[in-house]
Amino acid sequence: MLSSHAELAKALQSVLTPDAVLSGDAAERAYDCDAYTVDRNNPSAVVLPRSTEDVAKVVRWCNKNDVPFTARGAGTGLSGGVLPAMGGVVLSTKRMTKILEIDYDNRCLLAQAGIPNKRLSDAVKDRGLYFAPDPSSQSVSTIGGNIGENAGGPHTLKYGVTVQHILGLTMVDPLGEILHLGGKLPGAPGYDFVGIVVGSEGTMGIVTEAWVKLCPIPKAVATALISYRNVADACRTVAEIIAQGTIPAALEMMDHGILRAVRAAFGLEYPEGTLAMLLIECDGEPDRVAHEMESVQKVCKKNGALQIRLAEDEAERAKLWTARKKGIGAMGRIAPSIVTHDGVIPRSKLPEMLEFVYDVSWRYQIGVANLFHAGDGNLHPCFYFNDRDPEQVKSVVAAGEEIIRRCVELGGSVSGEHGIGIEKVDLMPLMFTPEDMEFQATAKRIFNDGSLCNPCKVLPSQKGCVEHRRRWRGTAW
Amino acid sequence: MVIPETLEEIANIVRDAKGTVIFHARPQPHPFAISGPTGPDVVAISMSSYEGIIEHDVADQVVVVRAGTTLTQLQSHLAITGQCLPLPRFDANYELATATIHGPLIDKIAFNLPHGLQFQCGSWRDWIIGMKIVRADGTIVKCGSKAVKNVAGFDVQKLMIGARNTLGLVAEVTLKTYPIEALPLSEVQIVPTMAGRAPNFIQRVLPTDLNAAIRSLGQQLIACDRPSSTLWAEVRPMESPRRFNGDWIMRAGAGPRNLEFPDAALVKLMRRTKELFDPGYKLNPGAMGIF
Amino acid sequence: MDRRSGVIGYVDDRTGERLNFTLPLSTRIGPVMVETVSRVSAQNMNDILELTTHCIRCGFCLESCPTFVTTANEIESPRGRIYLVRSAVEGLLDWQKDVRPHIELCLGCRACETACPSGVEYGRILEGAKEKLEQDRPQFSKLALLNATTRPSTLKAQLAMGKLLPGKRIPTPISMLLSKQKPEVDQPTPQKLSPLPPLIHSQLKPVQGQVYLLEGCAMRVLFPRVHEATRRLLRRIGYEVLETAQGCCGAMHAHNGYIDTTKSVGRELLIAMSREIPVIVNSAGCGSTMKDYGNILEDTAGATKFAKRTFDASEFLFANGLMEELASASGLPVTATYHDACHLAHGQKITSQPRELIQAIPRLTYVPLQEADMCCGSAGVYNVLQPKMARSLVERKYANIEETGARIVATGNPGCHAWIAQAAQEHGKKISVLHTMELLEAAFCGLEPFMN
Repeated sequence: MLSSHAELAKALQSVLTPDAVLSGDAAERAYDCDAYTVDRNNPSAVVLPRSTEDVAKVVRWCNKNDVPFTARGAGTGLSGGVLPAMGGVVLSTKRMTKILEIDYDNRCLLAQAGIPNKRLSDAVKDRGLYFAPDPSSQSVSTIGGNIGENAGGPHTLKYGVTVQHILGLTMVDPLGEILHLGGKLPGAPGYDFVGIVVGSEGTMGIVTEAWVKLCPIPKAVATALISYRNVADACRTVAEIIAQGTIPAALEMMDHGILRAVRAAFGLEYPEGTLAMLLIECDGEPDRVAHEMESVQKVCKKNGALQIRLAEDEAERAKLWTARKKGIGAMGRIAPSIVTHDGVIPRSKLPEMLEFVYDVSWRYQIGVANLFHAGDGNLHPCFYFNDRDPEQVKSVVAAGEEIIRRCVELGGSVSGEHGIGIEKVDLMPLMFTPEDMEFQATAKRIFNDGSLCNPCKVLPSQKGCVEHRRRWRGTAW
Repeated sequence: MVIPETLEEIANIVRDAKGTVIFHARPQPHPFAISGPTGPDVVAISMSSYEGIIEHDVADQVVVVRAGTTLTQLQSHLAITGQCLPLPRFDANYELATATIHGPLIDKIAFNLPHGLQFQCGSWRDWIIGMKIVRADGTIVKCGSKAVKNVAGFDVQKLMIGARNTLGLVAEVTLKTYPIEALPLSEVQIVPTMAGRAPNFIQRVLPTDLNAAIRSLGQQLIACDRPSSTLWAEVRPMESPRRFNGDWIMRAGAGPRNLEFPDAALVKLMRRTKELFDPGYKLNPGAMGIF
Repeated sequence: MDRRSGVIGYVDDRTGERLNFTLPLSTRIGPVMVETVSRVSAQNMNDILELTTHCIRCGFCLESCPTFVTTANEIESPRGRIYLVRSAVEGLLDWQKDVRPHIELCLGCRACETACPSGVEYGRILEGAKEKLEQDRPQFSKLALLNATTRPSTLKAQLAMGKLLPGKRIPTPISMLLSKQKPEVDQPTPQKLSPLPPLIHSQLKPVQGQVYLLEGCAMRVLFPRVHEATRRLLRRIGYEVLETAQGCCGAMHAHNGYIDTTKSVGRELLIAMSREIPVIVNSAGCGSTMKDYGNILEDTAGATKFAKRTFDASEFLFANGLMEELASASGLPVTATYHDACHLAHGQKITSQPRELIQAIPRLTYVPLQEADMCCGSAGVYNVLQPKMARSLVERKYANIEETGARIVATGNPGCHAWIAQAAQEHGKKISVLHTMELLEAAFCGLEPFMN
């Protein structure tokens, strides 16, 4: 082990170039966590490689010198996936932002890992194509990060999560070997390595390039905002829409807590007495969209909708989506601290689960706002509180714990899209037995026997990892 | 041939087997299978009695099912509530032409053959949200959950799909179901003169190469799915049809040549994977061609 | 429950019954909190700390930040800088060693404020941090530069002296002193005033009111034509400029950490423009600061009111009938695009009005500009203080402009105007840079007088 951070940075400068290495107190501070701010740890240095070869060089150097390393994209993750848990080197992909090849005819595109998700769609929109996964952070979050976390988003209900849109990968394995997995065509014989690497949270290697699938932009889109007198009516609507066989492109719910914030931040208007809202979008062929929207509206009316507002044009549609996508961020305007959870439940259990969430909030006297992907049963209860009051913090921790446990009891999962990272690593035993986790650990060893590549993530009790420091569940935003 | 009826029985048989274990899912082997070893120390397991639907949550559109269940059985159960797995509707011609005979799920998942709606509705890796697996040492493990969206832990179930049970035996699966009403029509075209023939060659090419591939297969072509640019053909065993950049093929009746892995690095990675999951090369030896 | 106050309503879905429960005041949802926070002035460490705590580190600002996009380094991003400032306030980092270089590389374009879902007031954090840095260790050379640029008489004298020096650029020794880098910026050259056809009053709308026009410091020396165009446009919609003796608005000082100077010159401006009539500003940087006088001069009577009657020229003209006047203008058969000045788009949230006005010019073909709201690198005196970064940004900007195929690019701020014009000249004068006011006036009296 090199004796000081300065020495380590100097050595890395000779591996790459001096301008590709960041070191010093300010750099260590700026890269000590992602958007999950509860746990932090300083890296020894940050490197900004420009190519797959650069990444491989750094990884090989780390192996030779027994230095842990962690890949990082835009640092928008919500579970501490890029936290340098054991210190060492942070490899930022932010100088790898090129689109290397676009194959319009075969509807796919090869990009470097550091490019923001949204830029993929921007690059091909003139040809009527787009990249379907749309996490709320898509204007900044990188394709590499999306692959690491198998990112979701509001439109996963119809179009699937990231893994369904990744065709092939170039990856630097934990020993520094460059691997090419998959290709332009899915379904090839052999083991599905792309399927296991996507969503492995950067623990199986560092993805540097990816072939992604492009989809045709839907010919027609209809977006409706529906107000309800109570959450139960909205939940029933969700269940009925799914049950009748309609698959909307998105089916999102907002409750009264979030509506107040969204009204304050984005001027979103709704009728008096509204306590829940659904944002429903249908897309595809014009006839089908019209038909689907009609049947959706019928279900809404039947379940006591107060008002159904259809977006008149693209501008209004964009406004509705801004309110949805930046809704959690808007909570930051009105409360000093927020914590957002990411539990999933079978969607028929929504009414029961929401009731439970409100009950927890009432018992612990902590405000809660809900804004989530109702169509997938992916909840995002957001507690707002003051983190300088230790009693409130304690309540928030306990309340979060109860909610996550309940999700698992109802047959769901501790995470729908934010990932396990460092945040939920000790919740894994709620879902999995030691044997189950050993099975997952075996899969991880396909690429790595050691513990240098993004250590301490996903699977609990790894060699040498410190105890997850603060039991403050959820994300501080 | 042993025919276990419970998960524990299967696990015990696998654990206690001294030699190798071969999984037989059906009376006759899958047409695209590569036959493995025979002999006194080979334990052959038939999954035909480990069948049936464990749980079907209609409102959530999720079904948990034993792997010995046939697809026909599962589809007819789901149809009662207006649901299905999004595979093309039952049609004998189609099934024959695309080698998708309605066998048990364990075969479907193990071979992961292309089907006529894969472009429109995805495939097994998109539908399976959870699994129970019997490992080579007889341990029963699970991955995934019943939630349709879940990122907790590694998606090891994806590794099992198309792995021909060489990494573990897929015993139970949790699947997302699909409303029948929303099921699109399959666009698979069957060459009229080839009706009634079964394919021994499947090729998937890039859409830009599709017409060239169709021409190259010529009279041997049985069926074609344009949206996914997949072709089914009957080729003479010794013949090697034209390959295209980035394509892949699967063959039947060509022994170890049934599967081709041109990338040495990938073969190395597959071997490593096999050794980690099944260090004694106990499960379905020979099934992947390379081991 | 005794320490808790503030009531939140909650309706029980089972019973439909409305329940109330209470929360501490500080976490109360609703406008109460917003108000208390936005009134805090970034004058001391506690205030800065309070402002930084609103950042939830979501990272949505990253791609909007020109220095982050250029360097890919998170220390040079809004999130990074906010975190550094917060850490310095908390005593975990050293202000001068760890924070200063990164604060100085910030353009102050505030594009991050537009991107921020949490409403973090980055501009105020930045000004607060700069003030702290300058107070602890003043940079006299920078102060001298500010004073030189913001005092019309000094600036004029310097321009005269500059003509005696060899080369187009500002002198290398001065640049080395300010930035430790070679200069990139040409010495400023004042616009030539070409005669414009006289306005025929009988054909104009009758005068219906008076307004003030901020003449500013550098603007009046370097861009007299822009003021002339603004005066004429105002007259076309029926407003007359009430002439008054006035000085600098203090924007440059505020952006560089000298809030006290801003306060004193701001107070003078309040006195000089004391009548309750609109104040029209055609320099985005100035307008942005003047609209913030309510915060900056919080202890001065009338500051908030003054801020409320301050309008960017495009904003005022758009709202008061120029669209109608343009309809009958002779128009311009040119292709034009528009670059958002940061302090207009992000500082004042004005993006649609100038575009609508330009598009209303008869016969003009408008083409949108990629990355229109990304800073050009001028940023006040930034291109003098950070020549390298400013150069890379203006090259990126120029490439985007060239891509549009437009012959004219309009913008609403003198800094952008001069800096992009320099780049356009270096690239062979294929593209002309005009202030939005010049382009709009040209719609009535032709491009000729504005093209040299």
